[in-house]
Amino acid sequence: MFTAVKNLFSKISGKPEDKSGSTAANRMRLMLTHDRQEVSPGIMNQMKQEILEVISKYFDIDPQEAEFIIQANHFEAESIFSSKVPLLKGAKLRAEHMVAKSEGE
Amino acid sequence: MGRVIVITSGKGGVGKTTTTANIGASLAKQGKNVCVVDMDIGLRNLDILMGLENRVVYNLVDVIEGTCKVKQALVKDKKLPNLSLLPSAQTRDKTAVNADQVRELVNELKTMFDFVLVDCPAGIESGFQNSISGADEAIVVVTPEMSSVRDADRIIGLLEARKNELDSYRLVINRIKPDLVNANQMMSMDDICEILSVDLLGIVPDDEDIVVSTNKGEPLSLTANKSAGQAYRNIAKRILGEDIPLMDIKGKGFFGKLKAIFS
Repeated sequence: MFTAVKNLFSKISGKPEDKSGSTAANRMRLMLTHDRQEVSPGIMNQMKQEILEVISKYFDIDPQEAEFIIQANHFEAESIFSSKVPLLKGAKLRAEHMVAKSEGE
Repeated sequence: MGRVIVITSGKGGVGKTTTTANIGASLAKQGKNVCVVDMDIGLRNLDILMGLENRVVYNLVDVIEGTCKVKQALVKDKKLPNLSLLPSAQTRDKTAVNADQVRELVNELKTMFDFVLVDCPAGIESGFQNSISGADEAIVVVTPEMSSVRDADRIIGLLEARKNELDSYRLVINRIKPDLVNANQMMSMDDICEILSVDLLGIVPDDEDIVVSTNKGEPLSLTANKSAGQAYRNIAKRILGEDIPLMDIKGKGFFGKLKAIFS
């Protein structure tokens, strides 16, 4: 009885994204991506850090907002790795690289 | 020639044996000749769920080793004469048989029955490899828990690797708790189907009557007209090619619970 009342109130007040069902589904998607690629989350994180370091040599980026996604399933031979790395507002290629480019010409 | 369907899951305790017994009984009730095979060598349980444990004389290992003929090892159901059980051995282990021997056995059973349902042991080792040997189709049983979904994904990967031997494999989502799904405190069946990207064969609500039916040794699908019993009958009909809509699984909600308390 008490849990029923509690559930009712949580149903009225709770936002769906706060609920553990969605949390589980999201964790599951990420976990299975790693499982299917046979790559541990630790290695993935290491690779992400290295990619971000390389990009930040050339652009000012916002590493917090960077997204890395592997699309993998059992049914297609190809998997896709994609990344989205937002540049900071007004970011241009770092000056030293521009100079290097013009010198090379 | 009959159809050989293996019931598997990866994770233990998600309801493979219950699913096997109930689908088997439902198919037999529909007039089909059905054999359910307990492939969990060393951990025999399907006989208990069907209430046939006192009638077991020979077992699957005896048949494979040539100690007896297949017909001698088959145990007929008490109520349904067209339903038979091939029990597993309790005192042996999974190394007692190999995949080729199992394939030969199910091929023989295929000539005798319309349906051969193979109850696969948990895990992905030899017991699983033996169980899928000779199977035409697979049913992957999963519960809406993360560990079960993860293990099911592993099994699906292994089944997909043998897709030239398997006609199809489909998902049964077992033990759905409607109240938790409604409150979004459990992965929904849509979530699970999307995550695993496998066709859905059926959904089975969590049902306390399963405990009672196991105690009695009578598959629930033969007696109950609601909940899990109905869900298993629907699954059997879908296996037979009927177009049955998915069960509407709704929680009792607040007032339903109130009613349940006072009734």
